[in-house]
Amino acid sequence: MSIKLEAVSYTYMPGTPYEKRAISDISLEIEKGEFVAIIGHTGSGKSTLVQHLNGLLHPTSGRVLVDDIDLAAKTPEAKKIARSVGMVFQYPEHQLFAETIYEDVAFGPRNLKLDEAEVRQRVELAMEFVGLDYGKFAHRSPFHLSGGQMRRVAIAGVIAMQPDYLVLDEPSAGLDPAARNAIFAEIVQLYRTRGITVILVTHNMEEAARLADRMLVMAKGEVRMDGKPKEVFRADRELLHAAGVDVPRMVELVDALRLKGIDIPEDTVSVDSLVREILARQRRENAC
Amino acid sequence: MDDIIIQTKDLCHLYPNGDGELIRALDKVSVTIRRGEFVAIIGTNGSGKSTLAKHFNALLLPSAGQCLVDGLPVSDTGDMWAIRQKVGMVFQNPDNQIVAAVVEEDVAFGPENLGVPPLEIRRRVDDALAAVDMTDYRLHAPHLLSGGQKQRIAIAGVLAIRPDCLVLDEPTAMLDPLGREEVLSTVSRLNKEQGMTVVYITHFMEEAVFADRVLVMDKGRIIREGTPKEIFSCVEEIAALGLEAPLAAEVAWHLRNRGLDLPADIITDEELALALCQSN
Ligand SMILES: Nc1ncnc2c1ncn2[C@@H]1O[C@H](COP(=O)(O)OP(=O)(O)OP(=O)(O)O)[C@@H](O)[C@H]1O
Ligand SMILES: Nc1ncnc2c1ncn2[C@@H]1O[C@H](COP(=O)(O)OP(=O)(O)O)[C@@H](O)[C@H]1O
Ligand SMILES: [Mg+2]
Ligand SMILES: [Mg+2]
Repeated sequence: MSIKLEAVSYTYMPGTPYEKRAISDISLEIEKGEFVAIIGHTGSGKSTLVQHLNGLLHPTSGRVLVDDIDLAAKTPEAKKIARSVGMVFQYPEHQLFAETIYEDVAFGPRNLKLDEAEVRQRVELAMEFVGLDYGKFAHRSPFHLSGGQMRRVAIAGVIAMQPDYLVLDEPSAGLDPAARNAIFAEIVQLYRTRGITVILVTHNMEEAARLADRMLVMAKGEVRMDGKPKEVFRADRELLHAAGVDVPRMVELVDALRLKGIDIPEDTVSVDSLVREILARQRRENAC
Repeated sequence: MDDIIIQTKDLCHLYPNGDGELIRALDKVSVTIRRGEFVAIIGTNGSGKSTLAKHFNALLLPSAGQCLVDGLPVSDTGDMWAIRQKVGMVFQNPDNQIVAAVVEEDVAFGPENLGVPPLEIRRRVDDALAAVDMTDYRLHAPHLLSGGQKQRIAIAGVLAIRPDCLVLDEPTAMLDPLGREEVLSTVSRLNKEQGMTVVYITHFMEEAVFADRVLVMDKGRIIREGTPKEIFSCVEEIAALGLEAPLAAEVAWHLRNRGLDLPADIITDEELALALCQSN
């Protein structure tokens, strides 16, 4: 059980003056149960890549296999398997369409031919997941919302499908810090309890470093690095910078402190451990 | 009086929500923005930031109370076009703001619509592109630029109208770190060097640190206002509001709680490093 890309390339508008090769010769495998973060500059091909994972785009050359089924095959199996990949798009306001938030979130589950009681239960759960009060929001129009609220509705619509593979393209843009943390905590919970696979495109390096167990760095349509977040962030800074990747805020802070001669381990990653290290150092200094 | 560019008094805004009910998005907001200020607005989703900002250039009209822009009331009888020339808006999604196929045509769109004579348009476009450091790209296709560059073009498009005040509603939400940095430093420079008044809505607390003043919104009201240091050193209170203090402020707060003698107003990495050096 996995998502497998075999030498995938994609070209937008081939044969026109606007022809643009967005990803080139990407081969990789994402195993079931992995939490993968994808980072890289705007335009590096992240969105193009993830849109291949549910068959929204088909490779110009190469193949995408989900659980060994080629998504480009025009078979019922291919359609069915594509539906097991839930996708939150980069611009989720484009994803909304129904009269009420309830109808919008219920659309996916209804397509799965669930009975209405089950649909309703899924809608309630999904709205809770994204922190939208059911009583207050279910019957409001999804278009009469603030930007962050719309994004939450779009995420709820995908969560309600209970997909095996969850793909999120920059889901935290426009969310306030509390909502961002709460939604990520929920995603981690899903990931741990239901063993789903999560593929997260993000510019938020904290998120990537904290949540993912594997990180892909994209540049110019290629995957340039593939490894554990700690390895990637401590890799060549030049390379990271060239790929438009900022190191996490915590790494920056630790660097700033070390630069001033405050010696704390380079690999301190959490607020708690940083606070402990600073206090321990302070005690050492005072003792001598 | 003359140094005030925007002032609201008990400003309320009610949205119809579709099923006959009304949503109170702004609840008696009174706020003053002075010329040359850089004001950041923060607050949770749905707290009313965009609704407030849209009154500043007459995209929305008050349901009750008042909003004055350079002394002109925002109302259906007021001079909407005069107000939109004084206050320009930049939004979140860089792709939705592009109207032309060439950068300089895109920037010229605003003044063209205002009937500015061609020679004057030329000058404005050149100035605006220089101000956002995009002169080299004037003949490029905007849709091929990076997100940060697109936002700088959007800012140039607003500058070409020669507004008194720039309102940016989460201009960096969709950008990568480099793009965010480009946009913030451009806005900051316009404020410092040209005295442009800036109202800047963001969910990135580290960006709000660059403002002169921070307004915190919650449930349609402004519930706090102060310098970034005043706002963000109250780490617990900020967290209780669903927001987040900058990392250095948070670490400093923990250290103080554990008995370390540090100044209460640390909000940047450098300040924390310096204070730690001095504390022993
Ligand atoms: N077009 C609309 N019709 C009805 N209600 C709306 C509309 N736009 C916003 N609202 C409501 O008004 C309130 C304030 O929304 P506003 O867009 O000003 O919030 P915001 O602070 O900008 O949030 P965000 O951080 O998510 O962008 C919210 O309760 C929202 O649901
Ligand atoms: N619909 C499209 N038509 C033409 N070119 C596109 C389209 N979408 C993306 N591109 C181009 O493909 C490249 C990769 O874009 P994208 O996958 O959106 O990158 P990212 O998500 O990393 O920002 C960019 O050069 C972009 O301009
Ligand atoms: Mg993208
Ligand atoms: Mg908003």
